[in-house]
Amino acid sequence: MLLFGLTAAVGEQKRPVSDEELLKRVGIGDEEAFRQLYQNTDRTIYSFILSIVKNPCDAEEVLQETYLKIWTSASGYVGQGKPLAWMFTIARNLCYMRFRDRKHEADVGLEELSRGETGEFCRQIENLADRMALEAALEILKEDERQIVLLHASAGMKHREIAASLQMPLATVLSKYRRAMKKMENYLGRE
Amino acid sequence: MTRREIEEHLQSAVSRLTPDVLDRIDLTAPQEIHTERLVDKRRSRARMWGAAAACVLAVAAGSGGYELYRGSLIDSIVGLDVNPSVELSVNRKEKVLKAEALNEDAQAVLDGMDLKGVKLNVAVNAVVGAMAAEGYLEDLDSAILVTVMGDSVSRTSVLRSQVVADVEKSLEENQVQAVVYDQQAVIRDDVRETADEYGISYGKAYFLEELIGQSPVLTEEDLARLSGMTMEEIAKEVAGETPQLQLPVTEETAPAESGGEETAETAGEGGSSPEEAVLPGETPAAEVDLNGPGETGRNEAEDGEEEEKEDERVRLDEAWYEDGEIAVTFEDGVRWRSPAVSVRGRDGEYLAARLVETDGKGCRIEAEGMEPGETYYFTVAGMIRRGGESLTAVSGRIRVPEDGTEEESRSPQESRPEESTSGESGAGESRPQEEGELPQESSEAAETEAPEESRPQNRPDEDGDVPERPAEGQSPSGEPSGSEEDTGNRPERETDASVNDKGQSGTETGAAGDGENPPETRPGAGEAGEEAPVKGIGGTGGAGTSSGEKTEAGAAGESRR
Repeated sequence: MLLFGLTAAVGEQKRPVSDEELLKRVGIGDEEAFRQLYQNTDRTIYSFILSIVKNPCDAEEVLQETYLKIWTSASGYVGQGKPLAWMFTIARNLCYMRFRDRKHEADVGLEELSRGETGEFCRQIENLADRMALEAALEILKEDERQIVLLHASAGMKHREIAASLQMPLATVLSKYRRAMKKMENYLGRE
Repeated sequence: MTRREIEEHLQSAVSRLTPDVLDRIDLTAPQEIHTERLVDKRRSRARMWGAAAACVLAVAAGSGGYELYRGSLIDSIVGLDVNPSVELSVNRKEKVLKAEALNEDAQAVLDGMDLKGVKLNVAVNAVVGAMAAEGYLEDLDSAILVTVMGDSVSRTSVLRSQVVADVEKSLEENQVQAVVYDQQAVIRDDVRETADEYGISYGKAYFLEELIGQSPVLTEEDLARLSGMTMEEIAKEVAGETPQLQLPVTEETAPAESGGEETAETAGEGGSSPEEAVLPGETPAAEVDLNGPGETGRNEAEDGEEEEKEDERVRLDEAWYEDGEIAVTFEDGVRWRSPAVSVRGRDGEYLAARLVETDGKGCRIEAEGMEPGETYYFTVAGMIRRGGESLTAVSGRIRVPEDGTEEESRSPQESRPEESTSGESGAGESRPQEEGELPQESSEAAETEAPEESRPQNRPDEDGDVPERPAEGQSPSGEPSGSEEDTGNRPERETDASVNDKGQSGTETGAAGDGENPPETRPGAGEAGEEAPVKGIGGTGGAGTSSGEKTEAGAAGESRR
């Protein structure tokens, strides 16, 4: 359902198109906008997903499912200026659905499910320090702390953006972040 | 690892891990279609998106079946529903051929009126007028549904706009308010059945069917209930059901109110801020100015009441430096009215600062020119403590860490030797502050101590690379205020112009020479809005002159931008 000759426009714009705008265009079938949106947000969405599923193999699959769902249901996005929050919701739901499925198959507790696979990475992180840091984050932090830490540290989101997207108060985001980083520092030792 | 290193490693790790799955996404997958909700914007007043959306559906060509009204000369039918339901059948020339009252209320309305042969716009006017006269449009939230049906879609569409315009005009003339919903309908059997079953007009039935079709909560079972309701009641119910559709709510009174409120607020601000006495170093002059505009509106703030003020202070919970910004959290919840901020260094030079985020429990300040190892004092104002009534301000201080690591400690290191150049007094404080200390109004020298913010400052999360301040738009930093501090430029806020009405132009600060009392801020200005960008700061960071004794901070930072 491509309609409207709404051009991708990314190239034409003098200024970068916002994710909100891109998402709206995706809603009307603009493939180029979708690609641009992907480029803009993949690391963020991946960070988010990884913080929930805790292992990169699953995260990769959920990432793909997420973007597919974003494509198919973008027209349902009611523009409120928080496209990421909407995308996060999709991602989160897909993560949980995956957990549910797994759980049924293996009859394993959720916690166990997500734990324990961190060691095997679909892709290898060669840099030891990188890997240590990530493993630490995934191991010792609670889900909300992981989310905030990964979104901030690896996706580069500002705390206020995180607050808006996760729908948490800014102050909460800030303190959780600090607390989480302290835990990490302690765990990883200060050098 | 240090925090910074951890962050870098996380970034690097995730970056390497992030797969590119774009090509694996099948864009030929069909997209769900959500009907575009066209909202009828005719009424500048209340817009009820949910209901209006349902109404305004433009329906495809009146295919099939218009045979109901076979015969003839009837070209279109116009329905008007409030509570009374009236249907006017008109011919191609828009003359009324038949006027039908579809319920009892309508009979009273049409009583005594002979509309045959009358031009449609006249008839509409008459009907609306009669409805008003009979009191059906008395409520502020009255709603009237206009339905048009006809053979030719384009003509019907034109007719629809016309009738709506006529209705609106008539409403005005009769001095009543109502939200006008309009729809262009086609003949559908199921709708016809519904109309017959419930004894309502076709238009209303059509409207309800559309509504039920689009609402996630309403179902056919609700039809019985809804059909007995007036348009106003239906609209309200819809509004209640669809919160996610961002119903902006009646704007009728909005302009008046907001206007009033704003003045009240601004006035109030002016009035109460000084009293807050929270601001250190206020100069009398400033206070006078602030009081100037008077508190017309804001009576609550009965300023002057010290006690009230006391109770309504907002306490600082934490403040720290992070990533070029100062993060502040309060112990008490607040509501922001006219957010304003000022940041100054130890030497009294003000930095270009603005609030980039505010929420119920804190805020973030972006300030240009914060250097590692330096201490800065901030004041944020223009908020009201939850449960309180007067505007208040909070001051505090943070230190930018030298090397970007978080300093949990209560900063013994604070005692920086260089003390500010001018008067500042002692910053030396490094006093571990206790939480929630109230900002004091120190006056000059004193102030440095004043702001304590609980916990030592900064926690830089990112490397304290102060220098890269994102110079954002405002803050023309760099405009050295030319001359010694003339107070002239230390507007923390927005341009003096706007500020002036509140009297405050930020400048007041004592001016005197450098720094001496850098009054923490002057809240007050109201720029409403959340982000009171502090632009226009002339004084900015440091620049300036302040002569000689600038501490490195002063010197270094500057300019920037």
